[in-house]
Amino acid sequence: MPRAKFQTLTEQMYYILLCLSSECYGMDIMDKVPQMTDGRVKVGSGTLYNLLEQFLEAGMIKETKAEGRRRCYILTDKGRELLESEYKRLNSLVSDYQRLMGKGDTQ
Amino acid sequence: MKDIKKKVEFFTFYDKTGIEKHLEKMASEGWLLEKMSAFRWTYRRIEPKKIHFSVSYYATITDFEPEPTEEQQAFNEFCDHSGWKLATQTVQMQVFYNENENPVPIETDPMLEIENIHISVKKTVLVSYFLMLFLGFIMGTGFVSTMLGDPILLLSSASRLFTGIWSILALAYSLTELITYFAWRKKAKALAEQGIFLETRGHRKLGFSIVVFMLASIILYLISLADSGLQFYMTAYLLILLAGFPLVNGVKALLKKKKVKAGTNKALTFAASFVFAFALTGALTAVTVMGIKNDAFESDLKELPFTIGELLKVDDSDYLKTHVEDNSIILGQYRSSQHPNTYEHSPTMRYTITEVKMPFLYDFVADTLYHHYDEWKGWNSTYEYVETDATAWGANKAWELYRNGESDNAFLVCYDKYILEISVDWKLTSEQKQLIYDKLN
Repeated sequence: MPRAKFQTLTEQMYYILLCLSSECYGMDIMDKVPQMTDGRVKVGSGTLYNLLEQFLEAGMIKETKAEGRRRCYILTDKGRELLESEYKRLNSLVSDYQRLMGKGDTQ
Repeated sequence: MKDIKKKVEFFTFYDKTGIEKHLEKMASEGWLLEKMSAFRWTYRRIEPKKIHFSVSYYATITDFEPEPTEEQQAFNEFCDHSGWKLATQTVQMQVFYNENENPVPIETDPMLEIENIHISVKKTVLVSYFLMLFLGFIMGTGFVSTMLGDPILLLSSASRLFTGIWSILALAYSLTELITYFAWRKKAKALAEQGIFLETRGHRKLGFSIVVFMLASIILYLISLADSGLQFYMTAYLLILLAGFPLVNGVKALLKKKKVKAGTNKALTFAASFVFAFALTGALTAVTVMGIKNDAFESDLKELPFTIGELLKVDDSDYLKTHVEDNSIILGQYRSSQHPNTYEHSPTMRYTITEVKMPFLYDFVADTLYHHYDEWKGWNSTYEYVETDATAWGANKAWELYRNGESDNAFLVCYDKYILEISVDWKLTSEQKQLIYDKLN
């Protein structure tokens, strides 16, 4: 079954939204995400462009300023909620693992 | 040494993997893609090197924009930021190249990419494939049913063969493309859930073969008309039809060059298509009228191969004569009949001469004609061909038709190259059979 849009986030969606917790130029996200993840996650230019369009359309982010074609974005309240619910979901995955595998004390 | 190379390419629209691999190979041989049109791609000479290519599908691009839109330019800037330079673009497809060793791909989310491809495929080729499938199915089933029911009629008509072959090719191509695309999409979506992009598979060779077949069938069709006087008119038809594409595209390109807005360009190009369609109808009608005036659509044989007058030594000048001729590179058929112009009882005659131009088909044609009356059985009559003396006809074999056990004065006669079916309402004499042989040979 295909996942419903934004019900759960892909890694790339998650880090794009995380970048936009503070005002950021769209294009700069391409450089920020690998820095944040030590090169583990990379976002392609086409993917980033399309996801920003989709987040904007869904009201997850808003445009704050534009310099020519360079645009700045930031999370909206709806976007923050989405990011937070994803954070909680990921946390519950981690705590389930720790509980079942008995590795809680290693953290 | 030429610095520009133009090649005819037959890639499936969504075959991004095939296109990227091909362009990488071309770059390693010293050719960088510079321009794309529907079939012809232009390459510029470069120093041979390893270059990465990426095909992107951007569904909002239309072919009528005089310049890249703000969104397109923003998209290109995003790509440029990660080292991807725009090589060229065509309707909803953009080709980027990157000279870095290990560039981050433009698309890193397979699901998004699949959806972008699908939106573009829907907007560009899907409608054409379904239309081609529909027309190919309707015309193809007609072709196959005629082939099964009356193969000789089909094989002796260049135009029937021509349209039949085109419809079968269109059916095969559209069906292959549709099945492959939807199968790929289904599998690709399943893999995309795991973050894997499934490579596309196009039908470059199939596309090339079909175009070659289509061109060959046009040439063979025109060759088969060489003796009929129709060749000039059919060539004119085809040239008028072919002129339409560059004309309409020329209008669009000119308006783009003049920086006319996309909406206005679209409206004017559509208007030009309508004007062209009317002009085309007018030109085709004019060619047809010219052809009729010059008897191009009439049979070349102004005189019947043999007549009642010659066989019975009577004056048949007021008889009604019909003569229909069909020709292809495989078979030729000449169907004639002579009927009295009055209600008086006078002799009538009809005959068909089938010319077998490909010897290996001779037995098949003879056998098909031998069984011609099979379907007539059951109408309170029985028909049967009974072998008769072929030497009287100067032929290799001959059969006489019997209806309900009585001779029907109809014969099937096999000469070396021709097969004659003749039906008269009198008893043919040996002299008349000899005369027919002399006339035909």
